[in-house]
Amino acid sequence: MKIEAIDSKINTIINALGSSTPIKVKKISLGKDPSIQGAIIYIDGLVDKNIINRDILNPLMIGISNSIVLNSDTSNFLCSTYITADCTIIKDNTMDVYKNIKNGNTLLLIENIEDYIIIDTTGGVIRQVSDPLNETSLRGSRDGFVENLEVNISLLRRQIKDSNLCIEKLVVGRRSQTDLAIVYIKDLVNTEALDDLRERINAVDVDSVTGIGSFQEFIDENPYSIFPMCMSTERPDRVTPSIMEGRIAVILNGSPFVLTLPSVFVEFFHTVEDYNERTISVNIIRFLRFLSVLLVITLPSVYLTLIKYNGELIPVEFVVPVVQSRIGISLSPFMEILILEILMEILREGGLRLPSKIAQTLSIVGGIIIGNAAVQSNMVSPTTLLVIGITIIASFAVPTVDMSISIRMLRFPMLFLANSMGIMGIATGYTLLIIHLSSLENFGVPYMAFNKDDLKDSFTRAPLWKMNSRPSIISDRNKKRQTNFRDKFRRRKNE
Amino acid sequence: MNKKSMLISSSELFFILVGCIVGISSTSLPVDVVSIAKQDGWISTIIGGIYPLYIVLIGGIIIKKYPNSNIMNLSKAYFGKIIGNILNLLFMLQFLFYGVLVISSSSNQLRAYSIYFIPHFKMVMILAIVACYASIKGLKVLCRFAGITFFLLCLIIVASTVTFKSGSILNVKPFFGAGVPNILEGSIKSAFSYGNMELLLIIYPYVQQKKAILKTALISTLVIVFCYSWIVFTSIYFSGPDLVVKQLWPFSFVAESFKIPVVNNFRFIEMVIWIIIAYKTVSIEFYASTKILNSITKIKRKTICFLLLPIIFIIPLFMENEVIRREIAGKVIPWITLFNISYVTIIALLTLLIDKKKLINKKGEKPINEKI
Repeated sequence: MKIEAIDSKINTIINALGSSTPIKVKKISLGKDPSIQGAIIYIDGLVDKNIINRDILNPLMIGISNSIVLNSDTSNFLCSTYITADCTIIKDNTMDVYKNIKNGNTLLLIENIEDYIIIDTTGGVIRQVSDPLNETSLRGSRDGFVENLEVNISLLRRQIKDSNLCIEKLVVGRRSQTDLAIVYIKDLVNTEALDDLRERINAVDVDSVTGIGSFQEFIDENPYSIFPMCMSTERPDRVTPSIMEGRIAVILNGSPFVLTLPSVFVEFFHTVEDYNERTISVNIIRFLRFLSVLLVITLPSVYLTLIKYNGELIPVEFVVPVVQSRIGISLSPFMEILILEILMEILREGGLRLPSKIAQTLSIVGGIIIGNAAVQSNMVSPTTLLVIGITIIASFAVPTVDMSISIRMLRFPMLFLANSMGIMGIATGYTLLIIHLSSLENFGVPYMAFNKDDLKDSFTRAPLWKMNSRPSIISDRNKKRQTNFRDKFRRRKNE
Repeated sequence: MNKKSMLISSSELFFILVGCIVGISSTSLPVDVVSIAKQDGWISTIIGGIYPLYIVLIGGIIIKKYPNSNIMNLSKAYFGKIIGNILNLLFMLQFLFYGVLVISSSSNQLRAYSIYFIPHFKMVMILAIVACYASIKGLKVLCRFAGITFFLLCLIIVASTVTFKSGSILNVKPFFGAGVPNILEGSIKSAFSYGNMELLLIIYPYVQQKKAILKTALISTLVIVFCYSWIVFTSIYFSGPDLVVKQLWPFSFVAESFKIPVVNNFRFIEMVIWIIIAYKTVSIEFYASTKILNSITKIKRKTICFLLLPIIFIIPLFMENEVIRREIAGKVIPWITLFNISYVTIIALLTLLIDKKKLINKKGEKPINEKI
């Protein structure tokens, strides 16, 4: 009868977990004279079998030399005396038990006892923490997020030891039941944004959340805007400063990218290097970066305006070479630029996912052969090729992938406007862009607004020791983050 | 969304006040002033700054007493609904008229400078539609827009310092040589360019820090006066008083002297910046007029934007000729200025005289949770 009881318990659990799940059940006998029946249940692949063998089965099956008294305290007794695994929980609620088994814990059942013993045996193969592939940095840390939620949280915890660091765990996706964690510092976070975010996450009602990108789209405030609204990064050393500024980090299990929000426009043009290099060089580099953004958006359109409408504005020395290079070109300037731009986008898109061996061929065929042949067959003029080349290279200076795509796409409407209205079109394009950017708001935080105090870290970067307050645009709680400690270094005069 | 973010900060107030006044028409400002005050035009411009200063100071009385109302509600409360609304309508028409003037002048100037291929009709249409779109977005967005254009304006001002290499100090000498009567007469001319400071009396309830309003407005007045007198001064310094009056847009001429090797001359960048600044000025003026009409009629402001769009589209079409436009402006603007000064002064005086308690139940004190 007793054996039947434990069998029925096992069956209930197997049914609840789904019969097709690779569930492993092992029945064991505990103690001697008389021995009692028990069973461990786990899902293959999610657990570390070494822990099960060494810390559960070995002590329970071999280590118990006397009989075990069955009462309400047995579970506690077993956990404290025999099971040597580091984390054990005793539960009486079956729903919690199912969830835990699905996350890679092992369940220990004992006959005639109501309680369930959950032992942490999470393991299985996960990727090691390694250099972030898509966001390399010269002087930043070599840590990159991995696909595992716990590991990612631990990466952040190692960098922020503040006792106010909060980690809230949520679940999204009806069927995928993806774990998600939001990380913030309690006394710094923008509470309105936090409430808003929680509300949005709880409202997400979908079958599955496959990646951080789709999750981002589900909670986005301006889903039709071309600009990315949340920063996603693989680097813990980008997330940590964001959390320190009062932002919220969202970690989704299964994705090596972590979202930080609310984000602002200029943030997407900052890199980890900006805070690891010397102030003056950083400012020059930032200037170059913003200059290249302007170049990407306007250079083709300016060139088009100059050769189509305002020839008088071309510098005198350039007029002759530009005109000569255009002799015999069959396409109109607009079509010429447009075709070349589209071609370059195709080349880039094609090269993005190619194995590195084939990518070489692509760069030779795309870059050298097509470029050369296009000029020689009088399809495009060499000057156009130069202009487009500069644009493409400048587009690589935008450090964030999302923003880089948005900026690149912006030059197409700009080109159309320039073609129809010349300088007026470029100015109109910029005006509409500024109005659009100014009207965006992200979790109650303006996407692009220049507060006097926040300008220290926007288009330029003030010395780090002068940034005494956190950006007020993100959160206005506990704004002071450091004191004028450098004043203490200063030597007195006549010393 | 938090309520605080609905209001504008004092720096945003600064940007929008500067943005409302300093626009593309400042390139033609030196002509009017220099034709009377000669080489002392810049002194006249500084004196002309008394007009916005007066509006700010007298507005300070109203702001102090009714920090949550605005001039439209006060006028309705003092004069009754009908007369108050008629006065408000006149007040609105002046903003609309300024908007029309800016649209037509931008179109005329831009067509003269390098955008000759777009006809007046299309140019006006583009300007009107973009301005309408921007003002639909609301005050907050306009403030941010004005903030960015302020930095662009600074760029032009900085670029014009290059003229100090090629101009001559003899052009502005002798100081006070034109005689005090001429300088004063010129200052009246320049005062007309300072119109629209009255925007402060429409938007002040939406400012977060009520105590900082007056200070910010004063700073913005100073900045505007500085910009204008700088523009007049560099124009005279660069071209001399005789040449300034022979040009339509003397300051554009100055900014063009800034040569960068690859960009040839500054005209392209300058034109882009002036167009953006023109968009900003028209948008703010259009916003102001829709805001006033909104308080008169209680129609949704977005609808009003569409209702008024034909006006700023059609009237500029009759001002295709810059000389005619200036003639019309020269006839109308003095009356507008006179109306503004008297309107604001009367409201301020009534604010001082009439007891606050009497009005508290009327529309004088209105909560500011309406959409901005």
